[in-house]
Amino acid sequence: MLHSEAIDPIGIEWQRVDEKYITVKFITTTFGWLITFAIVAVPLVLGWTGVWGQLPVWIQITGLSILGLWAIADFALVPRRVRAIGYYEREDDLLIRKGLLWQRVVAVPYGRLQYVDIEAGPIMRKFGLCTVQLKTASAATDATIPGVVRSEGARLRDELSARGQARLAGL
Amino acid sequence: MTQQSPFPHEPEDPAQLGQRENDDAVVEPSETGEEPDAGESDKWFDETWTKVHPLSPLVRGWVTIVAIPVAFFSYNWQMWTDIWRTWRSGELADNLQANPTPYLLGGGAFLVLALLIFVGFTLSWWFTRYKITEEHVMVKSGIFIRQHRQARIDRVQAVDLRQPLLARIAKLAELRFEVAEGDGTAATLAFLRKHEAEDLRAEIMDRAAGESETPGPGAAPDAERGVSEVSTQAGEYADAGAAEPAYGVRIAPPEGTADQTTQGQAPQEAAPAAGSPSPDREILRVPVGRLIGSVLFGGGTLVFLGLLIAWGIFMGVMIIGGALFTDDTMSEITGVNIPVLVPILIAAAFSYYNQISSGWKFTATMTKAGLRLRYGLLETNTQTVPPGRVQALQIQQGLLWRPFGWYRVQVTVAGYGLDARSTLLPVGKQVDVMQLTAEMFPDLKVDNPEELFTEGLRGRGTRLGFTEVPSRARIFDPLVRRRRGFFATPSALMLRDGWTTRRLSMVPHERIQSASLEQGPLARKAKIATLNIHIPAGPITARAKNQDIELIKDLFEQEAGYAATARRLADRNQWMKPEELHEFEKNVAEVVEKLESDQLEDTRSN
Repeated sequence: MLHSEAIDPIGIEWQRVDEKYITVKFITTTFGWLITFAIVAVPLVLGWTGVWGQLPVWIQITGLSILGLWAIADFALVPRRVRAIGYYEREDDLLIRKGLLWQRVVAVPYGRLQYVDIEAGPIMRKFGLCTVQLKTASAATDATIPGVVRSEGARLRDELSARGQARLAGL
Repeated sequence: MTQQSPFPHEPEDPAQLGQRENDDAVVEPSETGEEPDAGESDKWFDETWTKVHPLSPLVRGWVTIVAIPVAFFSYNWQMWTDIWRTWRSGELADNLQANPTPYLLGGGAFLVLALLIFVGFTLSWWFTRYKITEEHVMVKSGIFIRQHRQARIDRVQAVDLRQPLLARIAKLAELRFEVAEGDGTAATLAFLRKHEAEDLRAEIMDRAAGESETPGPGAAPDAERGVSEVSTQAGEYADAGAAEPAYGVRIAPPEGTADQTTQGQAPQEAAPAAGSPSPDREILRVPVGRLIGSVLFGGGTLVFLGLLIAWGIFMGVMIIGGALFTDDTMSEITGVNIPVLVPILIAAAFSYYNQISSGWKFTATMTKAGLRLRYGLLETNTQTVPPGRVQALQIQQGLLWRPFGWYRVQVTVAGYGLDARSTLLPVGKQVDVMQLTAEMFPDLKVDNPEELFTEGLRGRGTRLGFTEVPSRARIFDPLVRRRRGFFATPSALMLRDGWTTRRLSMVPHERIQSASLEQGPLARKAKIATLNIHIPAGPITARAKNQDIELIKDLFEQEAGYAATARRLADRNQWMKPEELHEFEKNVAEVVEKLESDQLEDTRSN
């Protein structure tokens, strides 16, 4: 399982999100990079065809290789990033962690929940996954669990709602 | 990857959480286009709706009336002087007789314009109506695009009464009801007669405070005393001159003649203890001299001076350069560059005016309904902030204020957002700050609050239990290292920060919505982390940056625990409805037990 990091509370066995989310993440990352490369390609192609002035070759090469390395690193880190996402239901609050280099652990008390949202785009749906989003009265809360299996998402929503009702504390 | 949801939101489902906060607590702007209220009735409003004062559109739209002619006249200034001259010479009259068409057209256009404005104003007045029901304040407005806003009265966070200059002359006032989460979308009643507005405010505030006109559970006042030890807000409130919060208080007709009659003096017939009305207490006022001084020595002046110096240097370089390398005279160069100063000067004037206006004759009075702030130069504002609605408080001191010992106090109240209204005190001495904090913030529950406060405001290092950024992490915060820290009292979290501009932010534990702990790769090496405390949007960011990992993890655990439980205790105050109260009482006992056992564990483990 997820090994414990410095900021993780002691004695927490993180619940990990579904492995299929790695595939989803690969797909979305691919799309992201395709768009990035398409945008970068515009001036280059215009330069080669002579519509624009051409940039010096060394700038083109270094720029492209930096971008390429970055993309490779991004892809290589996808599985680890997904495996770094975890959540854990405590008695009074829900803990969510994410991040490899920049790590974040957020604690959302059930009593503070204003609503629990479940959403899923077309790719997520194809893999039977969804994103659970928790909202409190503070916009800063930013607590989402991406890549949860649908049934688990529904269970989480019901569970959180029920607990929230029992502990509702509004503002 | 977000749009379609396989699990629709199901707002009808009573188990769904959104119900309470989402559905009717919030102000709901619903634009129904030209279809009036499709559901219940075919009329947009019936006779139960009240119209606002007929002068309202004029008061609100006077700028249009003034601006159109002014723009028209000044734009065509040359033409008008020409006409004046021709009229004087008698040429105009001849011309008019010879060829009247353009003059008639012009006059007609002017009349049509005036008529249009008049009709617009009348229609907008006719279509703006409000209605106060048992539970809601509702406002409908709009001629073509209709709007219906409603605010649940028991969710009202604060009520403001605003009087722009013209409204002041016409003795009218605007009422704003601020509701949680309603960032910038409060229900606004503009305009009512001033005394009407004041009565309405008094009534709404009382009802928002849970003092319903139907008698509540008879045991309520006893219960109040019973939990007052754990219930900081209620205790605070009783101290604040509210006597015993009593259910079953009737709102008496206002008496007296002064303009502060309406609220504080509603006699409390049912009040068991006091019997006599609790008078309004003036807590502080800001002297004009100090206000002007504070603005002159404020942050704006620093920026302005910086710009001026930059401009001076630039000019110097230009002049010397010009003298050395060209034959241009000085006036030519300065002539080019002085216009640059104009927008800066205008901006500075505006900024100064705003600051002075929002602090002019600033008085803070503690009334039954909360802290009443009055201020304003040309337009007067009266806002009422109930102590129980303050989510966080921040005391701040700019660099130039230090020699004078001045501070500014700001609060986060849900719905105020980043508004200037969140300023509780534009400038004041430490005594004023302490007094205000004592009224508006729960007791810190320490033996040496004053000392602690001073330490938080001006201190550095680890005295009195404050933390600092550990010296191994010096590189992260070379300057602010010894100021940046926190201290957790039993009731609130104090966060100290700022090297030039000193800040002390305080959040009651029970107001915390959620908390997050963050750490970057370098911070991991240095064994530090940052704690973010999430509170509703406002001027205050509660964050303990770069603190020792062990300390901050403990704090994280502690705050998460508090956020989950302690809040329920402090919620117990007169701002609740009777049935909420009942539900609440049930929970309290169990939570108190749990907290106590937690504390026992803590003391054992230490």
